[in-house]
Amino acid sequence: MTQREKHQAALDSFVAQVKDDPNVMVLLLAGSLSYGEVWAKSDIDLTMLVRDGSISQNLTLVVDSDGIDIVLTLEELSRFKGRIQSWVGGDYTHNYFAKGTVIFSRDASFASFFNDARRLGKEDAILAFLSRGSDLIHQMHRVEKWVTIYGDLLYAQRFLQWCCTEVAHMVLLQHGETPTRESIRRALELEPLLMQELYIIPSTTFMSKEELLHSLQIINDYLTLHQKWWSSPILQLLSDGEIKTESHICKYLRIPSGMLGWLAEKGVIDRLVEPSRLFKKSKTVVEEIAYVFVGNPPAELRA
Amino acid sequence: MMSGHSGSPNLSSPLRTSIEVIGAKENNLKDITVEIPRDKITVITGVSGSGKSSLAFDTIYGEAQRRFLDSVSNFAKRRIGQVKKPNVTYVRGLSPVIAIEQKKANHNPRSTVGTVTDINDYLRLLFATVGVGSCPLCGAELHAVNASQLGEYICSLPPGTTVDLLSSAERVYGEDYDFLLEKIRKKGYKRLLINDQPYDLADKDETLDENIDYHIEIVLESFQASGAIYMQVVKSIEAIMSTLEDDIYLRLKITANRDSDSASTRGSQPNSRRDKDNNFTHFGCPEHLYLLLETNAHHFSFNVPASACETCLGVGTSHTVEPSFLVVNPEKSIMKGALHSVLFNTSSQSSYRFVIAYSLAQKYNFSLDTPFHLYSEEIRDLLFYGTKGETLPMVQPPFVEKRNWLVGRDRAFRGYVNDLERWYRNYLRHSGNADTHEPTFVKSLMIEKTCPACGGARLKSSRLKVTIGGKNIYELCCLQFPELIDFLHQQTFPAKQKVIAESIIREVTTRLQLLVDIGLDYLSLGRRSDSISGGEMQRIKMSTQISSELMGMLYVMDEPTIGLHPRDSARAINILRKLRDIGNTVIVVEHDLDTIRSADYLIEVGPGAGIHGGEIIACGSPEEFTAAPHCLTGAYLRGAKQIPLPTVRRKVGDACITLQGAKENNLKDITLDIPLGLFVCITGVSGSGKSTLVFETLAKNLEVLQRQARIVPGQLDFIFGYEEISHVVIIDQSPIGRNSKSNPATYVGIYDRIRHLLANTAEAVARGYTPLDFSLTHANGTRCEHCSGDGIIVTNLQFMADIETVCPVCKGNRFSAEGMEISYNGKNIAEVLQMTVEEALIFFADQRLIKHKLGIMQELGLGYMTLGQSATTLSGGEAQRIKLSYELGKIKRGSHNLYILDEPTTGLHCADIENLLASLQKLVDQGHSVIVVEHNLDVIKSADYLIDLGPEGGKNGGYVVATGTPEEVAQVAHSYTGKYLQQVLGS
Repeated sequence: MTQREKHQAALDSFVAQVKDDPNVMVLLLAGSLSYGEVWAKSDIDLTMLVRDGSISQNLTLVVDSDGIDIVLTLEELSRFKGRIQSWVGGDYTHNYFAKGTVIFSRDASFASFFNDARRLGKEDAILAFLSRGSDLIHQMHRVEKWVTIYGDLLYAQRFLQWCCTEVAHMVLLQHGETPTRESIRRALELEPLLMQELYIIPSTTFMSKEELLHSLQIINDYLTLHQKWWSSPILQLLSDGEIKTESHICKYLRIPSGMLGWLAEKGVIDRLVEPSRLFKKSKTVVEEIAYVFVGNPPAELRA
Repeated sequence: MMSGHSGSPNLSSPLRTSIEVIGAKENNLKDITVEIPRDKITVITGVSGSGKSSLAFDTIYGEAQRRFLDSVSNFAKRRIGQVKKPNVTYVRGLSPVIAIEQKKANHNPRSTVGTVTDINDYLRLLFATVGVGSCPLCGAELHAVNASQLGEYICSLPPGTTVDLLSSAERVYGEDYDFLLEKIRKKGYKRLLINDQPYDLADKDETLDENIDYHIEIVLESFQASGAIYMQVVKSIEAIMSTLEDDIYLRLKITANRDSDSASTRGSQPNSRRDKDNNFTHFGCPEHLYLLLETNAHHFSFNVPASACETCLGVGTSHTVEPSFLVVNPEKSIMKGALHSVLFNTSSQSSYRFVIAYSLAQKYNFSLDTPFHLYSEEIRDLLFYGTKGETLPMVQPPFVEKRNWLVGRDRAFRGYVNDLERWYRNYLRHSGNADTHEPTFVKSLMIEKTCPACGGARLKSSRLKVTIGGKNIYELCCLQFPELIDFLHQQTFPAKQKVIAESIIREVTTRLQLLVDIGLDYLSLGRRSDSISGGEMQRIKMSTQISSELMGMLYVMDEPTIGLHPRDSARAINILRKLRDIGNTVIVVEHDLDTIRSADYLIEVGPGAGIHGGEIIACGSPEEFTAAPHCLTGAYLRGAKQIPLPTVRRKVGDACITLQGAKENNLKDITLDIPLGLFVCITGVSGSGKSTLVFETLAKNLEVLQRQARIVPGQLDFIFGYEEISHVVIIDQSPIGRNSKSNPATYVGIYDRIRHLLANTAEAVARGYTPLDFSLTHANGTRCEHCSGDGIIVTNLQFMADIETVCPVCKGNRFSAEGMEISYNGKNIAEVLQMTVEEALIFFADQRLIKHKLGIMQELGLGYMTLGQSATTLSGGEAQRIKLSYELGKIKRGSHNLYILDEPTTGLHCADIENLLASLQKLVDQGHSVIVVEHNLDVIKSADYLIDLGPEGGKNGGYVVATGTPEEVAQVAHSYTGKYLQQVLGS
C-alpha cells in the first residue's frame, strides 16, 4: 500500500463515519492530499461545512483516522460562503481552497459555487498584486540601504532573495494564478529570464554592488512594464481629480501604501499633503500624505 | 365604605377624598396648609411668582414622585434620576403622579408626532402584518412570505432545478457605483446581474458608466432543488435576511435542470415560468417571480439604520451647500477675502486653489480683484457650480513664487458648491475615522433641505413600496389626522388578516381621535416634534394619558390652554373633564378665566409675587371663590376687575412692511401689509400659519436683509418697507442662560455696574480687588471656591436622589468671607444679590442706570425676583419678561425697532397682563413697532391692528381672513377671532 493509498483510506474511513449526519453539508479536502504528494508526516487538511445553526463559531480540531491526523476545521455553510465571497482572492488562504477538492456535498449547488470561488478574479489579481508589490517595495529599499549605507552585500543579497519571492508571487498573479509555496518554481516557467536574474543568480553566486543594483533595476523595469495593468484600480479611484489621502485610498482598495509611492515617484500620480485631524477631537491639524491624478502630466514631464 | 376588621390594626382608614398638604415651605411658600379634593379638577391660580408652581409642581408633584420612586428597587433606582425631598411637613392622599408640562419636545430631528404619541409603532405594525408589496414590473400584489414558505417552495421544484435568489441594489444618492460595489463585496457577495448580464466583482470586467442607471441585482444564493437540503435552504434564507438587512424584496431566477424530465423543462431564460399553478401564485408575482419577504415593524422604522434612507439616514433632510454662505464678504474681492477661508485662504498663496481661481479668471475673463457682488450671474455660476466638464489649462499666478504641481495640466473645475458637497459626503462615508476633516465648518456652510433621495420619506425605497390601500407608510404620515382616520376606516382586509388589522387600526384611530378632539386636527404623524409648540406638545401628552385609561392617577398640568385659540379652549377643558371622569385627580396651574370657571375647586396663591406671595388667599368652589372679597382672580371672574379697552387706537399710517407671495409651510401665497408704528397682533386658530408668517417669513427675511444672517428664511416673493426698521428684536420664552451663575442682574446688565461700585469702595481698592473679582464665574476672585460660587454642594448618592447641601464654607452666600467684608452702603455682594428687584430699587436709588433698569423690571411685574436668582430656575414667561425689560432698558431715542413677541401672556395672571400691555404700549409710544402672536383676547382687544389668519389650521389655513382694528375684525363673519372679539368688545 502506497502512502497516498494509506492517506486516502484514512480519509474515506472518516468520510464514511460522518456523511450520514444531516448537519454535515460539505467536506472540502485541501493540502497535499488534494494536489501534491503525501509522505509519512503529512496530515490531512479537511474543512467540514455544517448546516447553519449547528455551531456557534468556527472550530479547529485534530482527529485520528487509522493512525493519520486529520486537521478538521468546522464552519457554517452560509458563513463560509459569505467569507469566501467577501475576500479579495490571490493570497495563501485563497490558494488553500483553490487547490482544494469537494469530496462530499449534500447540496448539489455547492460544486458550482466552489468552482467559482476557486477562480482568481481579474480585479482581485490586481489588488493582490498591489499588496505583494508593497512588500516588494519595502524589501527593495532594504537591498538598496544595505548596499549603499551599510555596504553589507551578503545581507543585501538576502533581502534580494525575499524580493524574488514577492516577484514570483506577482508573476503568478499577473498570469491569473494564485500564489503558492511553489510560486518561484512556477515563475521560472512563466518568466524564465526574470527569475534567472532574481532567483538563480542570487542563489548561486556572491553578488557585487553593481549586480545587486542591477537586479533592483530589473524589478523596476518589470513593474514599469506592467504598470498600466496593475495601477488601473488606483487610477480609477483617483480619476475624479479629487485629492485623496493615502489612508483613504488604502482603506478603500484594501491595499498597503507601497505602490502609491512608486507611482508618485514615476510621475504617474502626484504626491501632496492634505490637512487632517488625527482624531475627532484633536485640536491640531497635521498634514497627511495624499495623492491626486490629473490625467495628463505637465509638458515637461511628457518631454 | 371600607372598614377595618376588629381585632387587627386599623390599616384602612376611611377612603381618602382629599390631598392634604401640611406645612409647605418650598421656595416662597409660607408654611401653608391646604386641602385639595381628589377626583376633581382643581385650578391653582394667582399672580406670576406667587408660588402656584411651587405648590403644584415642587411640592405635590415632587413629593408624590419621590415617594413612588422610593418604592422601586435599588437596582432600578440606579437607572432613574431621583428627586429631592420638597420642603414640606407632610402630604397625605397622594397617588402615582404624572406631570404634563409645557416643555418643548426634544430637538432631535428624528422625533415626530408619530413617535412621541407611539402611534407610529402601531402603524409600523400594521404595515408589517397586512402591508402588501407590488411587483416592480407589472404591479402584481405580493404578500409576505417567510423563510420556511420560500424554502418549501424551492424544495418542491423538480430535483436539479437551479434557483438563484436575487436582490436589487441601488446606488446611494451622490455616490458612485464603486461605492455600491465595494459595499456589496464587504457584505459577502460577489456575483451580480447587471442588466441581466452576469458581473463578477472579483473581475470587474467592465467599468460602469456613472451616467447610466443600471439595473443591478445581487446573486444572494443559488440552490439546486432537493428535499434533502430543506433545512439548510431555510437557514440560508434566514441568514440572507439578516445579512442583507435592507432588502425585503427578492427575485427568483429559476433554471430547469436540462437533464430532468423534458415536460418540466422551463428553459434557461430567467423567469420564463409558463405554469402559474404552483404555490408561488399565492405570495409572489408568478410572471416575474418577485416576492416580498416577511417584514417586521422595524422594517418600517426610520430610526433603524437598515431601514432608513441611506442618504439622510432617516432624518428626511440632508445638508446641501448654500452658495450664499460661501461668500462671507460680498463687498470684497476674492483676493481680499470675499470667500470663506475654507475655499480660498488669502494667506495661503501656495495652495492649488489659487492656481484654479487664477486659471478660471484667465480663461473666463474676469478679475479676482473685482468685489464679489459685482460679478455677473455667469461668473458666480462658474465659481459655485464649475465648468460642467469643460477643461481649462492651469496657469501659474504671477504673484505666486512657488510653482504649483497643477500648473501645466488641463483640468475641469467642479465648482465650490460641488467640491464641498463631495467633501461632506466623503466625511459621512468615513465618519468615525481620522482621515477626514471635522465637518463642522462644512455644516456651517450648509442648509437643511428635503433629502433628494427619499424626498423626506426617511425610509429606503423598498419600504415605501409596501402599501396599504395603495398608500405607503410615509403617505399615511403626511395625512392630517381626520383624513388618516377616514382612510383607515375605509380599508378592507382579507378574512385571515381582518382580526389583526382591525385591532391595530382600532388602536391607531382611537389615539388619533383623541388628538382631533383636543384640537390638534391640523397635525400629521410625520410632523417633526421640534416644529411644534410647547402647548401643542402638552396637549399631545394629555391625549396620550387619556388613551392609557388609567384611573386613580394624579395629573399636574401647567396652563393646558396656552397656545389655544378661544375656539379650541373648550376642547382642552373637555380633556381635563374626561381625565377626571375616568377617576383621576387633576391639578392645573392656570390663568385662563374659562378654565378657571370650569374647575371643581379653586385655590388662589398670593397676594403678591415672591416674598409678597406664598399664602393661600382663597379656596373653594367657583361660586365661593368668586364671592371671596380679597381674591384677585375672583374679582376678574365676577367682572369687578377687567383689562380696559384702550381709549384710543393708533391710526394706520403710511409706513408699513409689505410681504408679497408668502408661501412657506401652509401659507397660501399671501400678500399683506403690516403697519409700522403700531401695536399689531397676529391671530388665528392653532396651526393657521401665524408663527410661519411672523417668525419664519417676516423675522428671518428681515434678518437676512438687514444683518446678512446665514439662515434660510421662509419663502417669499418680495418684501418692501423694511428700510424704516433699525433693528428687529425677537423676544421669546427661551431661557436667558443655561448656566446656574447667570441671573437677572447679569442679563439686564446691572451686575457690571454693581461690581464696579463694590470694587471702587476704599476697602476693595486697598485690597487690590478689581470688578472682575466680584464675578461668580471668575476663579480666584471673591467667589467661594469650595462651591465655585453655586452656594450649594451636590452630592451624588448613586441610587438615591442627589442631595443638595448648603456649602459649608460660604453658608450659601456664594462668596468668600473676605469678599463679603467689602460692602457698599452697608451691604456686601451676597446681600445685594439676595435683594429683590423692589428692594434693590430703593437701595440703588442714587444709581441712575441701575434704577432705570430695575424700574422697568418692576413695571413688568418682576419686583419679587431676587437679583441673583439662578437663570435655570426661571419660568419661560419670566425669562421673556426679563428679556423685554432688557430691551426696554436699552432702547435709544430716534431708532425704530420692530419687537416681535410670541404669546407673551404665557404664565401671566390677568393682573400681570395689564402691566405687560402697558409696557408694550410704551414701546409703541416711543416710536417702535410691536408685533405679537397671541390668543389672549385681552391682548387682542388692546391691539391697534389685527391680522387674522385661518380660517382653519393645517392645510385649510394659511389665508388672511381679516385685517383691521379689533372692532373691524369683530364684524368679519367668517373670522373665529372676530366671533370671540364680539364678546369682549361687547359689540
